Amino acid sequence: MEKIDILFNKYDAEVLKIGAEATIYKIFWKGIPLIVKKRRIKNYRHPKIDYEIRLSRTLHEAKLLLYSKKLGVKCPAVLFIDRINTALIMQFINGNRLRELIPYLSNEEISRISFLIGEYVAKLHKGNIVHGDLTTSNMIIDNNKDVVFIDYGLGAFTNEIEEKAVDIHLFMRTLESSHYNFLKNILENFFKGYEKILGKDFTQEILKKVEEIRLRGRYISLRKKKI
Amino acid sequence: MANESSIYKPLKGGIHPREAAQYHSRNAIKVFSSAIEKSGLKLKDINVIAFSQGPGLGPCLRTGATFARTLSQVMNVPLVNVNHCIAHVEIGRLLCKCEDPVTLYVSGGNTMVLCFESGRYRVFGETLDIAIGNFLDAFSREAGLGLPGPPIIEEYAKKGEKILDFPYRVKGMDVSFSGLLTSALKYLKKGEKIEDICLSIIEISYSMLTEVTERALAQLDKKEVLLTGGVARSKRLREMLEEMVKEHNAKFFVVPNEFAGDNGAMIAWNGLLQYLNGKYISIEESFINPRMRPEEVEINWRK
Repeated sequence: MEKIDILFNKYDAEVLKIGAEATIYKIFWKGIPLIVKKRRIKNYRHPKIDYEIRLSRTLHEAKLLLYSKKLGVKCPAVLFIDRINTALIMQFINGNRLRELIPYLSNEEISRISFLIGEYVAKLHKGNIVHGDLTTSNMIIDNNKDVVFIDYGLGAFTNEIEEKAVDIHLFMRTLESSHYNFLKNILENFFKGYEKILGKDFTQEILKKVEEIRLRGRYISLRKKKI
Repeated sequence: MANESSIYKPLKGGIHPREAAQYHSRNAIKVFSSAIEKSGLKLKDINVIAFSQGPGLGPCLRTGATFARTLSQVMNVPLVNVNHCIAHVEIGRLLCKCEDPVTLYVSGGNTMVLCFESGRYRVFGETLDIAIGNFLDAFSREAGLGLPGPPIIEEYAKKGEKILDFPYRVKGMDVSFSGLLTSALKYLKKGEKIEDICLSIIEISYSMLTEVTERALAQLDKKEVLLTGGVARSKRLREMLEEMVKEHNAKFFVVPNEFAGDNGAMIAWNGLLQYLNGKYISIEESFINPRMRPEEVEINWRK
């Protein structure tokens, strides 16, 4: 347990994850569990630059979460933004990370979830958002057995097909490294779901782009190593 | 060992590739002779010639390669092709005695974060447009502060008081400086205090470099950071990296000043490593490659 400053108060917080840039905490507010994503101060940066970067990234992420929800893609609701401590206070999602869940799921369940992920990613892409870090650790299966995307920290608003293809490529790369045995099933249904939203032509186009990206040297070798 | 050099300095404006190459061909023999003299070796003591294959300015690389081919034929010794960027990393590893660092290589022509992964040096992040040295030199020249840019701008920055608004461009592990240059020149035209502009661009551009290095360090879970290239001489950049590295409980190394910028010793050392592990080329294969990538080179001297 750690004490953190949020919204002019001190809270007991449980550290869930420490990233390169931010720390994820779980707090209780009037008995309700909440997630706090707080971007840390970097001492090497000039204080003014440091604050501006932390603030703009926090606001940017909040905006992405908001738009994601509008597009019909489940993600944590942003409840408060603490501009002083550059923190996002979000809904706590009850459920399990897909990464840990996959080995316990039936093939039919994996197919269903993969189809859903395909649909959601396509919805984001259709709305010109890329998630930026589509790993199975960033997907939570909630109590309604629906998929919830978390961590939009690397996301962006873009209409470039290249960036959308990178999004898919990153997803494929985590599958290859962590869920190799389910790769075929997941990808097949993922693209079925993707095609349902964005159509056959666009899906073919983006697949070509993904292939092009994967043929660039540094990705090929990374993939080889992971397998 | 001898590490001799003679550096082309344009009278005004930036580097003109043809003139730089002509300068190199005029001075090659002089530099070579003084290196031989200083090292106390005889020509017959030399058993391998290394040259930089790329990346770099085509005409200049060609001059160096031609000179190297000639030497190799005259002395009848093998020729080794060296990647310029990797040579910077290798001389750093040798002199700083570090094992497996995340390397930030910053110079007039290159800005990249390199690390050794499965048999090759991989570029984990790099500039999407101009190099840090190029950016600072261009600004310094336009502002009439003189060259080289980084130390002069840092000197002015010490008297700066406020940070102006500038774009901060970090995309994943890549950086971009061209927008910073444009805004800096706009501020200059508008009559902002030169000290403030200098402070802002130094703080912002070095923060960007430190951040991408930090990301690579955290993602790859390494324990060492190496700073190399001409801009490695910068005091402020060293300070920032040192602070960041401390937070990650890693070790920080900087290449000694003499070997920070482009130098012959690094090409020779990397050439030697390569040659001892049986990698050299024939004259027919010794094309230069101005856009050579570090990933193209199979590293046979590291595991």
